[in-house]
Amino acid sequence: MVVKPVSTSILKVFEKPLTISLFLANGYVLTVIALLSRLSPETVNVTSWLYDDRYVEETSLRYYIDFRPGYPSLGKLPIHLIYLYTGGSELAVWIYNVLTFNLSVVIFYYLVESLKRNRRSTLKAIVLYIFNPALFIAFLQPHADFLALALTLTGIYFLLRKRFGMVALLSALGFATKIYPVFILVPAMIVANNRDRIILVTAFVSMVWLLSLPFVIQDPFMYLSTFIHHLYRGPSESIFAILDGYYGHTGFVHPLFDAAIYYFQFTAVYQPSHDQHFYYAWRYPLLKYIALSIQLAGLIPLFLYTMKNWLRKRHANNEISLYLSILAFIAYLSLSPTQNILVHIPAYALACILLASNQDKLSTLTLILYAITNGLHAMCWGLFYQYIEHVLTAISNLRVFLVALIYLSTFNLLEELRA
Amino acid sequence: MKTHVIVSFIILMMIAIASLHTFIELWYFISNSTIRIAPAISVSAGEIISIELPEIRKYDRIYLVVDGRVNVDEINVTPVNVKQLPLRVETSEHDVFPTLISEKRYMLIAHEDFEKICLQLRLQPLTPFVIKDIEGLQRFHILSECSSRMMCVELSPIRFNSNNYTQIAFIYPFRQIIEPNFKIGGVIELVRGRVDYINIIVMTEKEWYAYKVVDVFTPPGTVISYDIDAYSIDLSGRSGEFLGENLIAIAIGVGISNVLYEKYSSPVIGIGELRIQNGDYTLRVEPAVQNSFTFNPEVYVLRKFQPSSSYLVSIISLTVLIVSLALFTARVARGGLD
Repeated sequence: MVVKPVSTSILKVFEKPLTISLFLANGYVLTVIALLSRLSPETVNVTSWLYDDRYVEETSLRYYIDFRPGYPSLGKLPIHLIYLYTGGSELAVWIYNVLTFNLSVVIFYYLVESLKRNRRSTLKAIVLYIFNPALFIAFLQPHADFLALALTLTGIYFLLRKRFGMVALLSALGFATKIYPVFILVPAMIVANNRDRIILVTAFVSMVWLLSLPFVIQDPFMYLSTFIHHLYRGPSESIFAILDGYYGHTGFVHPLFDAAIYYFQFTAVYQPSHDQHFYYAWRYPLLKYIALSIQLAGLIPLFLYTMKNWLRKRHANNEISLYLSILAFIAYLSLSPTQNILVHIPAYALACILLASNQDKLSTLTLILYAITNGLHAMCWGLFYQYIEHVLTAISNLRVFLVALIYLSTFNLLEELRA
Repeated sequence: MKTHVIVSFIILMMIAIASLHTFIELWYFISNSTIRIAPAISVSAGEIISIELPEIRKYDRIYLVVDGRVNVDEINVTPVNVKQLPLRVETSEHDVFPTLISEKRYMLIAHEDFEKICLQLRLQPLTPFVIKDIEGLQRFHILSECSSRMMCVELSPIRFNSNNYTQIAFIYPFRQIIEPNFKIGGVIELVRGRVDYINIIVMTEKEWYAYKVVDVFTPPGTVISYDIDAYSIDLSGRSGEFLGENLIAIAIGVGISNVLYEKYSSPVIGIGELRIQNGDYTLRVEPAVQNSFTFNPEVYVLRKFQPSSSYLVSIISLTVLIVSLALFTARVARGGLD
């Protein structure tokens, strides 16, 4: 019996492209966060965002029945359970974030690989995806962004295979996690035939209904307020921000107990006021116009391109399904009043997939425009929050060094494997 | 094929009827769920005033909105099984936003049914300032008798922040764009005890600019006059950066550390007139203390939904119908009923 040396076995593992992708993604993200926690420990405080969990515990209120959290049940309850059973342990939240992040990377990998069976392109897409500064902000918060992204990408994966039952299931799970994955239904409804459309709608409605039932039975208004309050949130930027006087609950300028009343009661106890702008509308009055212009600039050519392809080949092929799904997401994320840097994560990931699958100028332009908008938002958040400022400063200082290090080590490793 | 269409149509019709029934019940709740009471009450500081509320059901919310300058010392409800929710603002300890300066809000939740309920409030005298905790928590007592042309306040820290400080602010809301000749001036007296600092804070929509006028070494009995303009240097070393920004308020922030508080008794500070000049506009804020005034609170009784048996029946029927329709269409799509 021949025993292989350990080093050979380790190298064998690294021959698998998925392992390399995971190694790269985790290595980069965790290195930056480890350095951040060393350089400015106050920035890496994940549990500070558990303020609503602390509040409901302290006041004995129940989520979705007495108190409206910011996210639907599948997004919020895992974090709440972590809070309840670990007493808000930072390590437990980190583990949850790392697990969901890895899940999103694995699905991202398989999606890109299914579009482009080219190892280098897949790796490129992964590198682009992990270089989104919003990822660090998502890592530093106990939210469900990576889980929602994983569900979205899985939904698109099944959409490309025309498995509409699974698309409906994943859209429903995504809807119950962070709402926006429901937009996979838009391209799915366009691409599907009449029979599949009926399956999509009925399966989606029944899944959402069943997932909502425990809360709808007890208090339909508080449960609905979870979704409707996003429309009442103050405008962040883009199209809603240019409507002065469009007001709502941004959270930052409201007592937390406002989340213990229904949305229609909220409108009764507050007078409309232009003060209810999202906070950085005060700081950078021009930002909303700049962000909107960049987003529209990215959206219009993509829309025209998608329509041209779609009209040429109705009941489109996989590639067009992908364009449509990206379009739906970008349209939503560009024009939504709830847009902030965290909801850039899926749009940015999809733009990376578009580039990997397409490799044309338009896809590059879309990604660049998104990266610019992303950067603008990161700056605004950074200036408001001291810790994000530190994050960005540290990232910008370390980026060149880290990129060089990761690229060198990865490609050296690949070369060694080939040799 | 015809059978499928008929069955689907029947299920859809049943869903529509069940939905309509549920919708009517929910709509009825929405239209009766908010009751507003807005009395005008003549009050004297220190007296307890009572506001009668209509019938309250378990878990109903009582939401009180008062003018930002009104200082509610005590809120009680009789009978007593009503819980007040603490005021927090998401991730920020600073609730000094325009909306939260102009009004103060309180929320209570009833924990049982009451046929008759009384909201009882004790108020402090009315001043031109909105008095708010910025760090930690302090109890304050507005003194009726004090130095001439001064408003005196006794401060007693209750809770210190993690940095061992507590800060209370006397905020004067003032909304204008800051012009180059912007200037504020006034007088402050440290009547008794010691404080770690008294800062004059220019609050704009973008930033706070704090200027220290009293420090830990200032002895009691000291009267300080201050003048701040675009050339003054704030605690962060900035000067004139506020020009062109939207001013929200001028505030006087008083900070006390736990070390100092252990050593000295509760300090008393006196706030004299505040002068503001901006462009062609000048304003002189007299520190008048009103012991009798008209109080105009807004009280909302916000009903909490309690599922009735008919609502539960509708929801269960809808669940059965929606799932049946999904299973039926899935089976038809697979050709199972051909």
